[in-house]
Amino acid sequence: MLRKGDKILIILIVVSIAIGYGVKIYNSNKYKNNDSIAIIEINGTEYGKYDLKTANNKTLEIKVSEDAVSIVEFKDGKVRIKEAQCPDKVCVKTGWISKPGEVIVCLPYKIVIKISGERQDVDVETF
Amino acid sequence: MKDIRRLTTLSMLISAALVLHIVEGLIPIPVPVPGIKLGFANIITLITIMFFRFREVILLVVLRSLLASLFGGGISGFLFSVTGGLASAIVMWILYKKFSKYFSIIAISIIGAIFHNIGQLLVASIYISDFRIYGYLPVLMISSVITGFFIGVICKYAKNLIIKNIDKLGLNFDDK
Repeated sequence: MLRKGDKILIILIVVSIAIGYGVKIYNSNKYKNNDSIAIIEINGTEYGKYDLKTANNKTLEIKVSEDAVSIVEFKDGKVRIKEAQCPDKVCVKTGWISKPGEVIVCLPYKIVIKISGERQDVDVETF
Repeated sequence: MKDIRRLTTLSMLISAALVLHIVEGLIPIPVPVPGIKLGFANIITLITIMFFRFREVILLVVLRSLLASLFGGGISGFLFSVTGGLASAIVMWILYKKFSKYFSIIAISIIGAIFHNIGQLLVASIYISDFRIYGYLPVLMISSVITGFFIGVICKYAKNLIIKNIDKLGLNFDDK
């Protein structure tokens, strides 16, 4: 029942999943000691950089339009979008992120929160 | 006469794809990649590949993405749908037409689902100017393999059913 290509496919899938997770684990180890900086971009332009280590129990209210405000919350070295007025609320459902490579995206309001894994020396807001 | 039958059947397939799109929109996906979808509409894509011409497959994918974006998703929704849909359709077309000997329909469907996700991740990574979002590929691969598998099973049985009833359905275009 299994044709030649099917078998190759199965092997490829298993291998790529293994590689994928391997790379993930490698990255999280590599960046373990770096500063966790959350970069918030709105509509492609940088809104601000926030040091997750020093931002604790802080909230940010971003006015995204006339009557919509998105609330970003920092706590315990993690960040999330706590509230948003977008219709799908994917950003809120994403929950907390803290590692480089993780992102929170709010498509309707074009908000992107990503964690940078590199050391930053300038223009980082510390609370 | 044959052309009208092609046109109307294609339109019905597009509507079916739209319904599937809405249905899958009701299922929340706990992966924070924007625009990611399960890809049920690939059932329709694959069936179209089996019985229609290449340009009709492309037309189907572009039109259903366009119409789906009108239902919700907007321009970005359209870009996500169309990139994933086209990537998936082109790969599945090549596999189905040239490599049927080596791949079962289920395998073709799985590969289509994987490329659907790769296409979506491509748009997402350009959108957030960060290619690291490809880190979500392993998770997506698992879901696309599972969805692809079920879609493949459905298509396999759909194909046999359609062929058995091809006269009744009026799909026996002999001007391929």
